[in-house]
Amino acid sequence: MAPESPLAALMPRLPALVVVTDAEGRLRALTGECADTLGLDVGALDDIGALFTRAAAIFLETHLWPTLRRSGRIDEVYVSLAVPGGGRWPCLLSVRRDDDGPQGRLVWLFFPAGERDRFEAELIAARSSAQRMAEALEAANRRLQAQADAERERNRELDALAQTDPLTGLGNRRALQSAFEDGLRRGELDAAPEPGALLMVDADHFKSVNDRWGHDVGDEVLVRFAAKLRASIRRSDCVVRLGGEEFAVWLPCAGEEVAGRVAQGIHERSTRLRPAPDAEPITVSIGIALLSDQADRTDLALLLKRADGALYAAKSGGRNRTCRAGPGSA
Amino acid sequence: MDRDRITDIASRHHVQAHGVGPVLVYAHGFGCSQGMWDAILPAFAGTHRQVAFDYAGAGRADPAAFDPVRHARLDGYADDLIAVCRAFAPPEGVTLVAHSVSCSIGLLAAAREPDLFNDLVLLGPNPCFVNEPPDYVGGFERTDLEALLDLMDRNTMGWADTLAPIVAGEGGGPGVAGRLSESFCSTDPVAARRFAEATFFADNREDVARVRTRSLVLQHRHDALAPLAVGRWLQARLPDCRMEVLDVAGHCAHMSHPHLVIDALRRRLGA
Repeated sequence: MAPESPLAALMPRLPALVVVTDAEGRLRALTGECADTLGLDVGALDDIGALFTRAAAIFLETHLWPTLRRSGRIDEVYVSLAVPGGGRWPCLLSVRRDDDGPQGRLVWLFFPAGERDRFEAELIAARSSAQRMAEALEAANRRLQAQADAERERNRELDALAQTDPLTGLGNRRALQSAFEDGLRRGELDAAPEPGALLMVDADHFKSVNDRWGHDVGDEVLVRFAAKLRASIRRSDCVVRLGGEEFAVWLPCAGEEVAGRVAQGIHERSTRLRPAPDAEPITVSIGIALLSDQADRTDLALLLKRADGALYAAKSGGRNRTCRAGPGSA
Repeated sequence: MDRDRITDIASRHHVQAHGVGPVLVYAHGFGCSQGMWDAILPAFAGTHRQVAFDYAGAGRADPAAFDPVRHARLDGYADDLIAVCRAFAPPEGVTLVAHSVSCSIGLLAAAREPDLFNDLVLLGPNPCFVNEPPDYVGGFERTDLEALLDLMDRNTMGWADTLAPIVAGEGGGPGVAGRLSESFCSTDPVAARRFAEATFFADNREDVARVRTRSLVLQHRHDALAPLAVGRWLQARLPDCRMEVLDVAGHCAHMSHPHLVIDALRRRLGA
């Protein structure tokens, strides 16, 4: 018989707890100094689970056993054992399946972790307070973000309102200005042979509509006329109401041909517009000014003035017609 | 349901559906993933269509599917289960095979969508872990369960990661080992913590009364997580409920004593 290893005699004095169980967790042997501390006696216990606190027993059942069955090992998990008479013994646990031993017996090594337990509790408290702070910050950030979004949305609405004619829902002079400036910014107006055209549109004899049927009907005609104008333009164009019965249409990237066609469309559509069933259809006069005809292509005021001049020419020429402004300054 | 939606749910919950026949849906418990059914599935491969999945936050479910608010309550997990059943259930419904907390989730789902389920097999159910003397013994005091959360916090790293290197060296080659190490019991620590709170502080006793589906309760004889009294409590309140006690110490008979679970299932499905 081989002499007993000197280590064997030391086993009961190991500053740890070593437990041997069968594959099902039934206790077969235990040793180590901590077995005494815990008052453990192999004879008095049956199942390894009985060593654990209630909390750790859940961990054992839901997690450690499935892992052990699958892989035959557990590495360094933190658990706590129940101290008889109350209290818990925090420790680190590693487990190995001893495949050379009988029927896959398991060797469980519990290493005391009281010190770790103490400072870890502080770390966990610090971590959860950091987590709470991070959550509070994130919530505050979300609130700020929502406020900024609402503010932006409100500004957009105000912008839109400031650029809208309340009666017809068309843009106003400001909207025309910003559509023109958009084109400038995009560089569309600089060198293109057909940088754009402006139509000044005025309903003929509109005062008599108001006089005869009243302002309500006059307003209604304006609203319907606005719809006709919208229907006459391209998607890229911008139609605005300048005031009264005077409208402007900005046609970016358009020349004489497109401007003429749009003007023609407006004439045709307005003939279908009557203030009352028995009334004469509305006619319009239109003045066209081409941006290519003026030296300073950034000058919207000049373009408006030239279109206005052409409109005046159309009016004095007998109304219900389109005139084009000559080159240069009006 | 359209095909895109089904594909979407399949990838969100890493659904594995195989075989032809009446449908069995397997719902895993806390701390693990659908990998826990590996020892059961082969027994019914020839006779049933078997559908297994991972809850959001578990196994190989899409991490984006986990919603910290919705998944703070078991109802959120019932949403997951219902979505999977809707996508994969035939009109006549499915047999749900649920373990542990999934039993409560399954009861919630069956109360909400009775037509989806025609039978519930509940392994180790516990609708409320906290004792409420004198009438109800769930097995735990609140402080026990708070200590469990503390334990999880301390194992935050290890909870998921100690499980990763496990299967290297098991048969089936590196591909299989890799797949298993990824799927088996791997759980995102944050999601696991949330699932633990949802699981162990849940009280679904009142929901039990709304269930109309027949059920089989399988209890472990010595189960730290679900005392026999809980099984009896359930049997007294579920309509058409049969209870069988498996001669097992532990909470996971489908892993430790799969043949017992397979036999019980066979008897139930044959009936």
